[in-house]
Amino acid sequence: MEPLLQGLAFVLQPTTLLWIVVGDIVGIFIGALPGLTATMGLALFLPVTIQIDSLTAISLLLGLYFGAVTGASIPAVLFGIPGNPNAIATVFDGLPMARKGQAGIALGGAVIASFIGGLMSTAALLAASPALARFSLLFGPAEYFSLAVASLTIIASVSGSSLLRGVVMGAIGVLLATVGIDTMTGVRRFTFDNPFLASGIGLVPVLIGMFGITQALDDAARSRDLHQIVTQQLGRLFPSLRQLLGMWRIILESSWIGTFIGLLPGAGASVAVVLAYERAKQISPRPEEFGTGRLEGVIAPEVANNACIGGGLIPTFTLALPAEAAAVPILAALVIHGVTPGPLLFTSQPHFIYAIIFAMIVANVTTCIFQLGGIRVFIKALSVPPTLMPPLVILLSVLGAYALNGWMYDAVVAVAAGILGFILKRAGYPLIPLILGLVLGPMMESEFRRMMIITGGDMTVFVTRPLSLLLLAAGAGSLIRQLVHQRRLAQRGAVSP
Amino acid sequence: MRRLIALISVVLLSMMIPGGLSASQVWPEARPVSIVVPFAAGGGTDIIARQIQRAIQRFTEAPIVIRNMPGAGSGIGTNEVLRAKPDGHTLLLSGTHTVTATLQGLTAGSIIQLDHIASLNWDPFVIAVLDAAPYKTLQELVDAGRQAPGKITIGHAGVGALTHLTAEALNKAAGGPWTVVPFEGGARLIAGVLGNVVTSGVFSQSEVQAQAGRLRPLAVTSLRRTTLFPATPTTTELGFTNIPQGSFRAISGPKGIPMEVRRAIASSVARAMNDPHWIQYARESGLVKTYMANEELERYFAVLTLDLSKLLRQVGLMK
Repeated sequence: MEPLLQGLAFVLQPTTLLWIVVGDIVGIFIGALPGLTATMGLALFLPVTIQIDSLTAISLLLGLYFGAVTGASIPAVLFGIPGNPNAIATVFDGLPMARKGQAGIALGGAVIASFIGGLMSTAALLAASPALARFSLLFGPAEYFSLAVASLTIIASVSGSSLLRGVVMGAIGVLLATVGIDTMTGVRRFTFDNPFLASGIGLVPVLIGMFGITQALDDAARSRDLHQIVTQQLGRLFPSLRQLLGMWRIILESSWIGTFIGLLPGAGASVAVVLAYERAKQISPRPEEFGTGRLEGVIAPEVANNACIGGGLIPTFTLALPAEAAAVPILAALVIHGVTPGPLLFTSQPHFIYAIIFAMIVANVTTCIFQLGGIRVFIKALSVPPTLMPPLVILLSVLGAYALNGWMYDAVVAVAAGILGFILKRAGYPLIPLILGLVLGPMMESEFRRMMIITGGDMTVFVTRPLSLLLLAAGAGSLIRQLVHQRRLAQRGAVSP
Repeated sequence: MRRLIALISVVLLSMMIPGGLSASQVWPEARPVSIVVPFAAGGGTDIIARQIQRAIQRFTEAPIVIRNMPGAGSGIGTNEVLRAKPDGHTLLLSGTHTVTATLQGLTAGSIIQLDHIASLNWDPFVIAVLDAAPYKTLQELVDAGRQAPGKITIGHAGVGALTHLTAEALNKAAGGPWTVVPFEGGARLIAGVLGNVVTSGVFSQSEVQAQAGRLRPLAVTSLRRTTLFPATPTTTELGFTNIPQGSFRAISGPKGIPMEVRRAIASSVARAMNDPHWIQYARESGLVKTYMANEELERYFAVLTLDLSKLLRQVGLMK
């Protein structure tokens, strides 16, 4: 009990609270600006934290982390540009909701969902850290490969009207991911002796291009009136309690998906949000309305991406193994301050862990308050004439892509991806499988090849390891279900014309 | 009135010129000095760069700024410095990574197109296995590999990086008993060894220290035993030859910096390395201090280039 109170007392000190709030506000801005990622913000703030004591430093970073992940939902809903890769799925229903005049509920719902997801994963961190940490070590190359195959198959088969188109787009994404230095042999692929191409085609520039620029071009082409979104009265921000309670299963399952994917080094929040979105679609009584502006479609990914934070921190604290890229600077902050992460941390310095847990809870609460409080200001600042909207979105996208590394190359990739995305979208090809292919391609390829090096070319390992087999079966299952579904539709169409 | 205003402006403007600037000081001028770190913020090299930056800043008026320019195995940041004006205001956190990047053609110029000014440290690698593993010494790991070919694996943190060359060099020196397995970064490699995907790995000292009790260090790749692992033998003691000593880090700049500016930078680095904060940081991180400047460092880079090019050819990353 005493360490618990010590931890609580520490977090409730005015200076700690102040630093958490500073982290939050900076984080929300970083999250809201496309191109600035949570990882980047944390890395840039790391030197600041060297000057202050370890717990305050971690609290500040946690505030920034939660802020950035939550803030990314703002441009996702209002402009259709995810501020961070973890907000890709928030766009699917967030933007249509804004178009229907429900921007307030979408933005508010996203914050509430983030809050719940953050708290759920904090609870997981508190309750089962050492036990859950072992789970992340159960995942070897075979399991990662199968996870990538399963996610890609599931997404390809459920997004868009045609299974074939989904699979083709997924494959194009995987192909694009092969550009750059091959991580297994160091061979440069499709780089044309260009040092930027040697770094590969960045996920974030493609993301910004295919959401931001594609959307802007699409709007410009349709000359759709975007003005209504930006100047509309936000009205209600809070979804009703009944609405939220009605989604208990989606919220619970999204929390689990977020926490578990967060545990796995290398899988990442962008995978978790897409999986949570698809799962929500399966649970929902009206799956066909997803993508047209359903609140569940915003809630599920926003619960999942904040749950990923807690999930990712579990192996960071208990195994010194940063599962999420953003956990690397947090681990570095621990090490710089002479705190040795590991299971011992839980027994030798329990007050430290409790303080971190309380800091996470406080960070969750304050992020929620500040983002909800600031939303109206944010929107007011954006009351621009309708014809200016598409150029503004394109400007933000190009700037965001450039800000990523300070490379013009990334801005060029974003513009190219935007134009390509526009053409593909017009032709009726879904873009999500392509982006997920880009995310999962490197993992799928390198884990497969790593496994082949270790087993000496024996491929049976993918079906003899139970977890791997289970994942492959899930992928195959969704493929078959979609095939059967399509055949049935075709038959029905033939019988009753 | 107008004259008075003019006079006041002149006085005020002259006050804006920093007082510390005198004719005898050749470096830095009264404008920012940027140190390009060719890796992302938060990584091992970045943390070292920020520590030395703070140490130099303590006695320098001009702001010293760290610029992270990651990409292409440190090639992007190196290119930025290769293109910069040789005035001592754009510097590179260079080292073994610069040698391997230039040798693999990831940069627009070779290692001799940089002026090497002062070295900072060696950061030796540690070969470690799971603490529950039956191998107590490096020799036992070699013997196990000889008895069951293909069964003993050694992981490293990235193709073309120094941990890769170290794994290959060790394997070659031992007669090739192991299978070398690449990972993407240190964190994945740790997960690989902890999860028993690979038998052993080439780690940085801080990584093994963070996993104390779960990873068992078998050897350190330094010439002498390090402060962090005094009980662990070095690869030299164990009779392994031609093994890289770990990551080497230095400060370099674009070719053509005037020699008096280079000397001034080198003496600032030397002074920073006597900073108590830096000394404490270096000791706690197990960094091996090494100070060489200008001509001596240029010669040392030539030796490093020769050694590493042999290893890169051996693994087929250089033709």
